[in-house]
Amino acid sequence: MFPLIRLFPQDSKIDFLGFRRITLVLSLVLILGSVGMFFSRGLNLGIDFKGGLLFDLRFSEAISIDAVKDDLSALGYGTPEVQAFGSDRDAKVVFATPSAPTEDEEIAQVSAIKQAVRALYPPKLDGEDLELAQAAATEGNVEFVNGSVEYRRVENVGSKISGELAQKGALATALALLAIAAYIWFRFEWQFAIAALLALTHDVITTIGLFSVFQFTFDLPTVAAILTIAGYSINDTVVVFDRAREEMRRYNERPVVDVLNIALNRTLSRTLMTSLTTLLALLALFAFGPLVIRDFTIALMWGVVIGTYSSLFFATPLLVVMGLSARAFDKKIVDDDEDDYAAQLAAAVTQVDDDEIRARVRTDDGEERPVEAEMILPEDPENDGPVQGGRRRTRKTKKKRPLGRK
Amino acid sequence: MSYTRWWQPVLVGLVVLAGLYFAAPNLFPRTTYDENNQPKSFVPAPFLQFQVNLGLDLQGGSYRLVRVDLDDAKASFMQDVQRIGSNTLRDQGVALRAIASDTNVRFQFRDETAMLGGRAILREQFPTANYTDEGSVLTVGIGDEAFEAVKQETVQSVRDTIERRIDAFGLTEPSIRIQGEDRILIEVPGVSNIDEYLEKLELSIHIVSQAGATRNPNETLFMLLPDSDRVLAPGEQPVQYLIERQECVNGSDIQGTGVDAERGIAVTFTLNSRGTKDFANCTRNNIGERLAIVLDGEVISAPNVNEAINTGAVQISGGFEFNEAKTLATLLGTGSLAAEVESIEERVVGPGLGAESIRSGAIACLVAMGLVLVFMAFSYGLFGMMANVALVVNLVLLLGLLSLFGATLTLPGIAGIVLTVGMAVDANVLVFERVREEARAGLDPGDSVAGGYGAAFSTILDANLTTVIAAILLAAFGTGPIQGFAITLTMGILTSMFTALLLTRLLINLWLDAFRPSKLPM
Repeated sequence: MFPLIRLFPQDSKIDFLGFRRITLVLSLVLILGSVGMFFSRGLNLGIDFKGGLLFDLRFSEAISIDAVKDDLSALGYGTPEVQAFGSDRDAKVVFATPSAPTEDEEIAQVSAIKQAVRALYPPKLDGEDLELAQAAATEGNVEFVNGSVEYRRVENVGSKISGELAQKGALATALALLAIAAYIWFRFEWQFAIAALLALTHDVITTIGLFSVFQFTFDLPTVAAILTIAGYSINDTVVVFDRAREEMRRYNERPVVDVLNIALNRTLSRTLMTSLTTLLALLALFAFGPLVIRDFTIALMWGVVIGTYSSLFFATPLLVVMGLSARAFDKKIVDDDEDDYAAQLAAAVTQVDDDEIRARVRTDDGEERPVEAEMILPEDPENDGPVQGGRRRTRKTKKKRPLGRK
Repeated sequence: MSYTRWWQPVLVGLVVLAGLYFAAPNLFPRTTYDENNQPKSFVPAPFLQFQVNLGLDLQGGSYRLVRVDLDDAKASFMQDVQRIGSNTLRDQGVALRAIASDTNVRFQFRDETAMLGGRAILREQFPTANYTDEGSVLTVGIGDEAFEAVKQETVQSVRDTIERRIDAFGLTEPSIRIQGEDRILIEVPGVSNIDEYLEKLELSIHIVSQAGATRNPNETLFMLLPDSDRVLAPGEQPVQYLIERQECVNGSDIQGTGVDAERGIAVTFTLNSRGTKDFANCTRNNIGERLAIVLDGEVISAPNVNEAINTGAVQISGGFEFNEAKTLATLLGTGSLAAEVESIEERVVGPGLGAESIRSGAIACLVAMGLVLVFMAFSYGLFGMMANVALVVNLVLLLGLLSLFGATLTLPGIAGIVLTVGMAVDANVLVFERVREEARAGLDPGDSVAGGYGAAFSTILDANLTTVIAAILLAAFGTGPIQGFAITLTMGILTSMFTALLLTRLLINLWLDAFRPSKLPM
């Protein structure tokens, strides 16, 4: 077998929370900066949210963007936005929604623009369109001449619909954030839910900020990307929080900052591994995937980065800010009178000094092994023999109190 | 002691086989049908006909959201009230004058008694309309109840007509759905322009009022209509025609349509017996006058009446190209739309772009997969390999699940799959990191694996459920392609949980059983 590559340290002891003031300030700056950008520079809204008429045209030979722009402006429907899109034969054309007093007139105008563009650049028919046109031409005994411009994409969103889409997108994002926070609140203590919600909001706002800074097109797929980022980021945060809760139960005597640091370090290699595999996959999509979803992919890549950052440096420090204390977890276990085993366990745990748990001896096979409190721990009523290690113990406790919440 | 229970390989094996079975048909060419709806190419016998549907953005086609103009529907209802109402009343010998506007009809009776009688007769015909009377004048408006009925009927009728029209051209499986109150969503694969199927195409033939030039064109008995663009030579100014509002015949009396290319190109149609009778009467009484053939408010032809036409055969000539005439003839044969429709959202993808998207999406997916496979193998060795088996099986299961449910794969859906490839290993990474910890804590390989899975399970569940929540909201609020993304993401999470929690665990346990290692190779 080939040697394994350890990209990430097994036993890292990074003091993540040591610079929590710096990272919290940094996050605050990112959020304020994003909000500032949003209000000063705004978003480059795509036609989904702004309305308008879009054409992706592929010409039979190389074209000059300026010439296309001149041709289209000469139609008399205003100056469209024309961009190169892919090869030198491709152009992406966007006409703004004509400002008309009524919706009916707006629709009529859009239809007129469409006809004028089709007349200027006769479409190259393909597929069923071509079959139909050829069949009709044969029947009528006329020669069929195909156009030369491929209409790769035509999109037209009316101003009313674009408003609806924007509303729906905002609503979906807000609901997703709240639903996720509700789930976290159900599974964890309230501090976790609030920290998770704030971290998600942080990720969403900074993603919007990124789109504002680089003026990437903000459209429906972007909203999908934002919600996916929310899903990814919460995934990351949940892993860290789950571990934090577990470690708090274990080390309930120690300062919360230390315990959270332990949790972050123990999940660090997983956090980085998953971020890296996801980034690798997205990189492939960015490099080889369809051009149409490139901005979407950029948003997702950014989301992976910011989602990972916020779990480590924003969500977890917030737990400290909100005064989460490991003691709270201790009290819960002892309070639970119904659960004899848990009570015994808690009593046993308090007898073991923290340092004793962390002390390690070398075993025969050269591995480090912590001195476990096998002698002190009570018999596990469900399994034969003494409980084997600290982790088992935690699992049992968790099983009895799956919600972990009063 | 064995780490594997007998049923575990059976269960996992069955699921994987089912996945393969449902995914396999996608390897064959897509099923296509000829004109007689017989399959031209299809999936061979042992497989069911499940294939992933390609969204319009991948196979190319038109997506169109239209709004039915309900004001127009209201106006047609009022015209019906005027026409049918006054015909019924006149048939019963009641003398009256009826004037229709877009929102109501005013019936002027001889006196109040006649009005009361007329009102009873009209009520029978239009029970849900609104009636207000003042002396000998009865005003019929459209009440809420009648409007509701008219609305539903109109939207349904428009939908059905559009479907008939698209079918008449033999296009593949369009999907036409009513959305909300007054919207219709039309999806036609493989076609880039469906504008012509959405024209109202309301045809009627009227007498041109020769003396009309001096009359007030606003007079409700007459209409002033322009020439159609079609009949104008380049640079020619449109002429306006003053025509009688009451038509001789209208489009609902058309029976058969065709194109005549003998002397110039003309659209021809024949009238049904009622239409033939009406048209014969109309032409007989107006020899020497002109007829105006009106299509959607424009005069497309204005022939002279030289003799009474008793055959019911009508020819519209002038200004057509063959294709255009053929299309118009076919569409006239399917009837006019019950109301005008307006496009409010349109998305068209050409077949070239769709094919390119599939190709580059597939390449991206394979490259992503290759990168992740190599990365996992180097990070976790043998365990990484097992996770890689799970990843490949995961894709097969995902494809199988998408095929089984006939889900639609869209471009963002492909992105969802690539994202799944990256995120699917997450559950395994979580488990493996835990297993490593347990092993470092001194547990033997069997216990480390069991402990690792146990400790990671609730985390995996929480982490995935939160993503599913986001995906479900996306599916609920998104449209078309975005929904496709949410669906593939959700299904990808489900299959990745299966492969990570059951499949890899089974592989590891089988390995533990076979080799009884004293140390984990990770």
